[in-house]
Amino acid sequence: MNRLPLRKDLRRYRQMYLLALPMVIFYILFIYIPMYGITIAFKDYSVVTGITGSPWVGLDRVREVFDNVFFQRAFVNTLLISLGKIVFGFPVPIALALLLNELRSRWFKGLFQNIMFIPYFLSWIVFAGIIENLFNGSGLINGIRVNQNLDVISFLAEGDWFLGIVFITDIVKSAGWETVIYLAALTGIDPHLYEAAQVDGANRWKQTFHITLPGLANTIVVLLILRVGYLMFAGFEQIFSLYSPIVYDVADILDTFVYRIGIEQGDYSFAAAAGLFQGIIGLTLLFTVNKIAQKIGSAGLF
Amino acid sequence: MFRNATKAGSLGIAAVLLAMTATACGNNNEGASPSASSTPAVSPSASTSESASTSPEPAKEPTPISIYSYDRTDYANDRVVQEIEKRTNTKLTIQPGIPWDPEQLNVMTATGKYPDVITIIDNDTFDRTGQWIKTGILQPFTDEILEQTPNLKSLLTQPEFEDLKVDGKYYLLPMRDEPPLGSAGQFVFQIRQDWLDKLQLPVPTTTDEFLDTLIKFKTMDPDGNGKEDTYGLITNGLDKLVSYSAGFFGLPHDERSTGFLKVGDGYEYWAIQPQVKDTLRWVKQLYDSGLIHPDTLTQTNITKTRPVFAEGRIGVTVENMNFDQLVNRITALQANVPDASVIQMSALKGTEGAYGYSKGNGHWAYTALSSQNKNPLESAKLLDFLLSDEGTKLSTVGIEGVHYTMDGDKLVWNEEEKKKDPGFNVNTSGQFHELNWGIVRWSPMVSEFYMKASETVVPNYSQMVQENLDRVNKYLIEPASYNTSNEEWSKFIGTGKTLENEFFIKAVMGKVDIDKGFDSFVKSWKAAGGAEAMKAMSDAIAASKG
Repeated sequence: MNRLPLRKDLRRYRQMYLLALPMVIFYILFIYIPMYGITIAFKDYSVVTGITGSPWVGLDRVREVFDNVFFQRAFVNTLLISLGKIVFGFPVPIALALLLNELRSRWFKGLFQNIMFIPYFLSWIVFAGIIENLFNGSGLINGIRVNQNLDVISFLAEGDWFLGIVFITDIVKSAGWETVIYLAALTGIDPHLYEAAQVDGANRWKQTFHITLPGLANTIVVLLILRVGYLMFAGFEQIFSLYSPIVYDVADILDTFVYRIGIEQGDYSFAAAAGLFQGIIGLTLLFTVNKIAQKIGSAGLF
Repeated sequence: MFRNATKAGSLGIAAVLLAMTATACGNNNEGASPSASSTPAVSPSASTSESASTSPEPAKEPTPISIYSYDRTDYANDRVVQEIEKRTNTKLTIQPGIPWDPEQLNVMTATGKYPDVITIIDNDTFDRTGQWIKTGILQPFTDEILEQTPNLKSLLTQPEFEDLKVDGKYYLLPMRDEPPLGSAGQFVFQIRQDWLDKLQLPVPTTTDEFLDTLIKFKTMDPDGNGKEDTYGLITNGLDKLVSYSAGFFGLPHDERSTGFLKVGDGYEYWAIQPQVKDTLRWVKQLYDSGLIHPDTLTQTNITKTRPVFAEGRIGVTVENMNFDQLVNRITALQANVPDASVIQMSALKGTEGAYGYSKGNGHWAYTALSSQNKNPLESAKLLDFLLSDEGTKLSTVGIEGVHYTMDGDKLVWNEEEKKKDPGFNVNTSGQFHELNWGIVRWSPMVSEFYMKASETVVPNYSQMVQENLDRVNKYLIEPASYNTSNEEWSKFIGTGKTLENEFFIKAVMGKVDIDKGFDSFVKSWKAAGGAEAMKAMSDAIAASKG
């Protein structure tokens, strides 16, 4: 690949760089500069003396994090919930995109796509409110069960039900958005390939397996890498708005644990140490999966 | 008292923070005006009202003071606020819209920008006051300040607040509770009297009778709709129900005390005492019999259980003993069940030994001067004024001649004038002005003045208060210490509480055997740091008792 000298490159693509500038500034201001605060994971942080004035304590707080019984549980729960979301949730938008792609009626396709997309725009708090009203002890579903003389099920208080609701609501909330990404990727596939395949006598299934899916492969890999990169982040807003102590056993994830320790109990150094560990694992996973993807022939993320 | 704590609120922290920071720096002119004189309410000795009201020198600029408190309306040009400002020569900034969510204050302190005067709600998972005194977020009411603030001094130097001193200094103004000193801690069992009457049942007095009563509530169709759709009880969590019931089995505990009791020569934490097993067995019986409303399992916020209770299908709620809230509870219930009535119950007898509700410490939450307060004396004088008879009356009923007039000893409201001032917010404060609670005290509900004023709207208010107080305070037990704090314990309580809550929930739901589970809970509780922390706390309590 020919590389232009930086100055020429900047001049030639100045409009592109200008477009990217706000995000670059955003990342510098709100992501990179605040990273300085990570140092409190190695300090006995006091609000009054501030970050620079607090004494260094080495790895003491990190050790405390690893010794904490709730941290170990949160770590396992985070992995399980994240993996569950990938296993159950990742194929759904691909399947939906393929199905939508086969629809003849543009009107119906548009309608269906919009309906799927709506939950993505609701905040988790609003969405969780709807879920609670459906699944609570006094919610709609239990109201129907009582009318049918069936026992009330505390969906949000039973570990298995709770996880089921977490996986399903995650799909409902995010599948619409990811479907759109796949549909966009589908439009990039050269229609001549389908025509050629038809001439060769390939039916719809064969076209799907030999043209559509390979055409989507790169997008699938990129989205998968991103998902795996977020393995340590199992969905704070979703879990936080749905869980209660009764399901901590299966639902307490690293994010909620860090929140409780940091914000509810005011132990900022401990929370920062736990959060730092979470970030390092996430970053390592991202690089690893990206490398693997490149090895098996995909372009990867970077 | 938790009026409005929501998870949504927690997630909105960042936005509120920005707003707080902006207003704290900006010294906006909120609030507005005036008024008069009267009830002690705070403490018998806090009766004089000279201090702040007479002092301002005309030439001096008003002192800007920013205040953090909960659940505030936007006072705009409220005349009561303006009158307080006038009489104390201050310019107040009281941020509106802060829900009942202490986490916002945690975040503010973490950023290093916090208002001059802050109200702090402690709970049993985070010893804010202890940690913030230690880290220097709060500054003390110095002797020099106390010399010039007689009402504040007289409150702080009451013997029951002696153990609030840290290194010989007072940092915290304890906000006196609604009930009189020596009453039960806040959460008590409250039962549908109309259901008892309908089923011709007496008010249960023992834990066994209570179980039988609840079974009848569930099976004998007390709401008369022909369906078996009623429940025995609702509250904000199975784990909480265990702690609310521990007193019936002899364990003095409520969230506002240390939870320590005398065991042998030392002091120990209530949750690892063997009586907890009896409490768990009893709550499990309620659970296994299907008497506990399922929302109890998932709602940790008591405000969310209120509309469910108001539907009229539940016999008992375990709730705050605040009398105004009892009136609200009955009113909300009567919208669905016109002849409904609710009474607060005496503690149930669950053991042959001493039992009862745990006697409360007489206060909940604190007001303190932050270390960023540049005008501690003026701020203390403001608090002193609000504690005085004059300040109490002004912040409760507004300005005489404007918001009310006196017809002999009877108060007559001027509803038209009240409507002009946003602080008279019926949703948060009934007929009274919002500033009467949450700044230096909670509503003085048992003061004669407050009761008389309440009777203009609720005719039998005084009688209702007295009857409920008599029942609730009939059987009380006392913890070993209310306010003693200790660094090791302060660090451990978050972990300890999580272990405790999870064990209680599992035991009640039958996921662990109570006896075996209890032994292993105590073991892991001690191993997680509880043993050392409890010992340190025991020593601290022993030291505080001399």
